[in-house]
Amino acid sequence: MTKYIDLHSHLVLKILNGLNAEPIVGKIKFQKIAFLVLKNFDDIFEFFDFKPHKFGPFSESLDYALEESKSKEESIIENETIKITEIGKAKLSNLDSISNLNVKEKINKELIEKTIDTIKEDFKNFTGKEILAFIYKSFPDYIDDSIIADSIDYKNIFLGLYERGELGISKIAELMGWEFQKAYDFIRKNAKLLIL
Amino acid sequence: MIVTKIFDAVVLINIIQDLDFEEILIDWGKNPRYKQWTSYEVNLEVQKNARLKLNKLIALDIIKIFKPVPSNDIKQIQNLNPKLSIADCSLIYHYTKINNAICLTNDLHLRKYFIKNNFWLSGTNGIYLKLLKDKNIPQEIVEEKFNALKHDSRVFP
Repeated sequence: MTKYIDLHSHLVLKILNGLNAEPIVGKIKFQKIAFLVLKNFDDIFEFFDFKPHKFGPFSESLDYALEESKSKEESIIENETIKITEIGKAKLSNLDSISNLNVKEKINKELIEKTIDTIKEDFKNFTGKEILAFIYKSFPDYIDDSIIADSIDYKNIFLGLYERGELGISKIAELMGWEFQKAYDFIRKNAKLLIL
Repeated sequence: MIVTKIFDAVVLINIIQDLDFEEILIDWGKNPRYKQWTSYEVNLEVQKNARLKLNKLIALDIIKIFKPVPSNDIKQIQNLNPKLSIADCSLIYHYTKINNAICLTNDLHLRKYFIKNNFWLSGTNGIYLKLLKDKNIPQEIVEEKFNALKHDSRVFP
């Protein structure tokens, strides 16, 4: 197994194990969470080679690593829900323990784990389509090759996220490229529940 | 009023609220009841009014903005917290840089951030306010206003 595959497998298990092993619904969401996590780590990000794909940024090598973990029974996918298994947890524990890290790498490892927890928690209640809409607006470079970007009703998706307390008005203004007043008026007119 | 040491829009809103919050926040006469005062709807109006007033003060050159948050710092905060807006990240940046600041906020996302990061966060409802103990704001005024808030159970349940 190459070093790169180790890195990818390790990350797959770390993501699945993050936030108390909270399962992730859908491969699209899994890829997007990985993308958002890795955007914080430039030195690692390049190894995953995320490319614009039919459904947003997609890393083929990460997908391969996920499939591999499934075939080794380190993860399972049931009804699109991806979970780490006990075998996967043991493997992760083993990978973590044999790593001979210097101080910088140790800090980086802790930071990666914290970032995974944060991103998983932040997007826990997002559907695959919602996280995709969020990413398309946040990272428009990844819209190329998308087969659904043009058909997404961004306003309604963000309105729904607002009503569920997932996004604030200033963030919606930012994502839509609106002035705050426009976002405010939109929310005021359309939201059934107003949340600050 | 001229405030000389101002950073960016979000902090500005809060500084304005610090100094004039009775005027900017809620018209107590119109919203005398607890339920109204703490309603999302009233809070939304408050946020809007504060922003509109801020824009006017900037347009009239009454308040000058300098020392914006470096874009790299914003990017760093936002990458780790992608659901926060740039304005939210600016507030977080300044909040972490300024000593003796107290943040009172009912903004859901900021509250989550502050709680998660063990920041001192006071107040749980009804008010979006930051008190900056800046040398340009007389300490006694800040203390007086903060003490008045503390005595109000609507701010500190």
